[in-house]
Amino acid sequence: MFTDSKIAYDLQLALNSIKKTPVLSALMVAAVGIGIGACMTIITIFYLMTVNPNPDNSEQLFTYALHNRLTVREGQEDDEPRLLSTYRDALYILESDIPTEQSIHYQSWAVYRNAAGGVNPFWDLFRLATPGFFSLFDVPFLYGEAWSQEQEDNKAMVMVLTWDMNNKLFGGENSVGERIEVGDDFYEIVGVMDKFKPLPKYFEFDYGLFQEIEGALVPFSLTPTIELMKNSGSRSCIATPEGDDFQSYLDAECHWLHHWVRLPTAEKREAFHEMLNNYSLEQRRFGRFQGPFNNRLYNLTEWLERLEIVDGTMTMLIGVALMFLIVCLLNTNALLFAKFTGRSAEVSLKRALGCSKKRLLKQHLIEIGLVGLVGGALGLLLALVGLAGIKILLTNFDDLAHLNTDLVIIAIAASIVSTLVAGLYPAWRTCQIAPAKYLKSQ
Amino acid sequence: MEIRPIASSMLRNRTGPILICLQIALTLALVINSIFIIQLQMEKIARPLGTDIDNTAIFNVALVDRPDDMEPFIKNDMDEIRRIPGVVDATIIAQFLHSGGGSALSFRPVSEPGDDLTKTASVNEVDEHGLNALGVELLYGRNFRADEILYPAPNTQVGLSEVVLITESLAKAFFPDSETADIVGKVVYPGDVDTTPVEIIGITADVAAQWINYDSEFAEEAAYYFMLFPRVQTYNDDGHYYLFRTEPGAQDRLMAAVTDKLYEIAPDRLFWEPTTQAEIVQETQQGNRAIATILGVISLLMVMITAFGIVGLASFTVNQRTRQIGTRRALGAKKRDILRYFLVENVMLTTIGVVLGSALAYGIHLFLFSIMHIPKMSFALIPAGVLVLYVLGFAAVLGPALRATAVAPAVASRTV
Repeated sequence: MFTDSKIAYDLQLALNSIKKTPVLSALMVAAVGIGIGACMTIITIFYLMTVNPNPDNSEQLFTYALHNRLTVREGQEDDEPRLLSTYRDALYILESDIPTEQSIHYQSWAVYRNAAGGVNPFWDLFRLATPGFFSLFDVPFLYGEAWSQEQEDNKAMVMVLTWDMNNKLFGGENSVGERIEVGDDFYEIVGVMDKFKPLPKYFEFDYGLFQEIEGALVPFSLTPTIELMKNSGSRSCIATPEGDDFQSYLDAECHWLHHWVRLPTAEKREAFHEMLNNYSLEQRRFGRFQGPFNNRLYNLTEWLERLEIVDGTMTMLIGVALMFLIVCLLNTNALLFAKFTGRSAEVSLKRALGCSKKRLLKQHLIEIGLVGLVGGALGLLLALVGLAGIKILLTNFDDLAHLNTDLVIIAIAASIVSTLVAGLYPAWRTCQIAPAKYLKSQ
Repeated sequence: MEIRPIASSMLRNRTGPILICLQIALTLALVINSIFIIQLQMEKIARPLGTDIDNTAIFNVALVDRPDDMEPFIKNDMDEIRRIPGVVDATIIAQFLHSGGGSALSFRPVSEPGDDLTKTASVNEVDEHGLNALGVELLYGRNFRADEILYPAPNTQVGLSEVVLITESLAKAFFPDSETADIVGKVVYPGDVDTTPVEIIGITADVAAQWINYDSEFAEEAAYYFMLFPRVQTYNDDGHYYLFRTEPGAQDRLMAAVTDKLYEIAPDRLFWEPTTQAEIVQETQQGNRAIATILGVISLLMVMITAFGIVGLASFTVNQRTRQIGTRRALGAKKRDILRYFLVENVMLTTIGVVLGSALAYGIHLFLFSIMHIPKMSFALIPAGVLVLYVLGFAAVLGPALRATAVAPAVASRTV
């Protein structure tokens, strides 16, 4: 009967063995489950925070940081440049034909006053962007399309609604061609975005990296016309603006615009970087860009690193979770040792009756794998509980705290593999028992 | 004591004990570091923020159609709010307080741009009722006068005002060699290049800067660098902010009353989530609470798992040694000798575990110290953790050990 190698029979043996020591088995499953549960909770958050939000374009998407300084103080020569662009620098670079596409954008607030269907006036986010915003970041459209470059150049009063805004204003119907009044102006709707929620929202770090895009978008070229200040997110000035009118606001040495470009080839990248440096050099005549150039060009991957989404605290939590899993596996390991040692007589008998070491090892490993599988399933349940807990603790993490298929597979695989690793040595040791040794005594 | 026989028995069957030792060591190291980080988070949360958190609320409001001259409109709003019984005081304010974000400006105490004299402070803007509405005490100097308050037109920006109120911590940072009272009347210069001075007219009790809960060296140093300017943005595209302080216990009622009053003055008013300061602070401290809770739960689970591991291993050993125990009992060993055997064995295991664990705890601390902005750990935590693990190990082994004492001497003579 020991030469019968049917999996079903091995599984039966494993189940029998697990049933024989219910407390020990339950402890092992619990240890593996709790370890995997805690680990998966933290790793899920980490995974969703760091997964590449635009993998198809990440090697071609770039943002820059110009090191604009009006004074240089000792010890500050190597400072990292500010992350956002000034209005005048962004406009200069927008003229360049090196990048194949460009997006300049910023966010503010506006009163949506003349809303369709009797919706009362309300107040919501409002974004100004060049049409490159839609193509660079792969924005999906439900109805219509983005405004054209020509409309951008002509300062056309056109608008793209986000999915949410279209629901709010038009109940989700196709609103292309409608006109609405926002702020002091009327806009014609040319497109409606589909749901769009890259995580993290890499192209705009200063207003919640994990928040949805809301409101409506209009051409960036309208900025001086509608005089909308950036009232959402970061704006940092290295000198006080000279006057109190809107033009002074635009001319000020203030860093506030997000600017992304597409540079498809290495030549373009070099040319673009060189252009930035030449521009800085030329600007020195106006008292800007003092000191050595620390101009930076980041591709998407480098950019995410620069944002330090994974900070010391996150590293610490991941470390703690992994060490916790190790403790749980050590525990399982010790319990398996205890269990298998207790089975010496049985193993010895089987060996004496002609069962091979290999076959015995296989039987043990099937049993261990079963513990890992059940432990992994328990771990997934516990991870769901853990993630629900995280949602309560951190209300902004709603979108980060959910499992996807990848993570479920990772959890089950990690559980089985780690349990097998933990159990391999105890199982191997047990199978080394000499056939007759335990038959003599007892 | 029977340390030698126990040791030789452990050495013969070493894998199980080694695993338990390692487990104890890891548990100790992680629990100690977790408790240290939890303590730090609790300390951060417990730090005073300097304003009357429990009784202040902020309304962010806008208008569908705003009047061209906002100054009289805002002054009227403020007067009406202040007149509501139960409202202690109210001010227009530039932005949320204690929300983890907001404006900051750099100033230097000398006219020439200096090296390390520049300090960056969190700034906010209020009217002459600001200090009272926030519940901040003025220590030296004077408050803003009504005629000093600037009301720039909507969506314009003006340069800095000529006077400023700063916190005691910031005053001492600017002028470390002066008596705090003497700093009143001194001037500071904005930014890197500007040479227009701003006069410090008063010094207030400390108010927390927006970055107080950030994880950085700067945030620690500048935790209470805070300035108030007598200038209020009358209207921006994001509306304007009204802050008011109420008598204790009256907040809920008065938030409704203020809302009604504002609607009464201007029916086309838009509200953006009226919030209490307490809610804003709660949200800002969410991260600290979450870290403390996550580490607390993991530590608790780990202690539990380790305890179960000890129970499991001890139970197994007792079962396996039933005949041995019977033999010892038959040869004259008393019940308490058997009990002592298992307890001593456990103490030996725990001792090796905690020695390893203490070293590991320190190693992990050094690593965390290098990646996070935390102070050095107090060593008092290590003995406390060690004690907890001894108690834990003792409690875990007691059950199986007591069961061992119940083994009858006659077992020895039985054959299986």
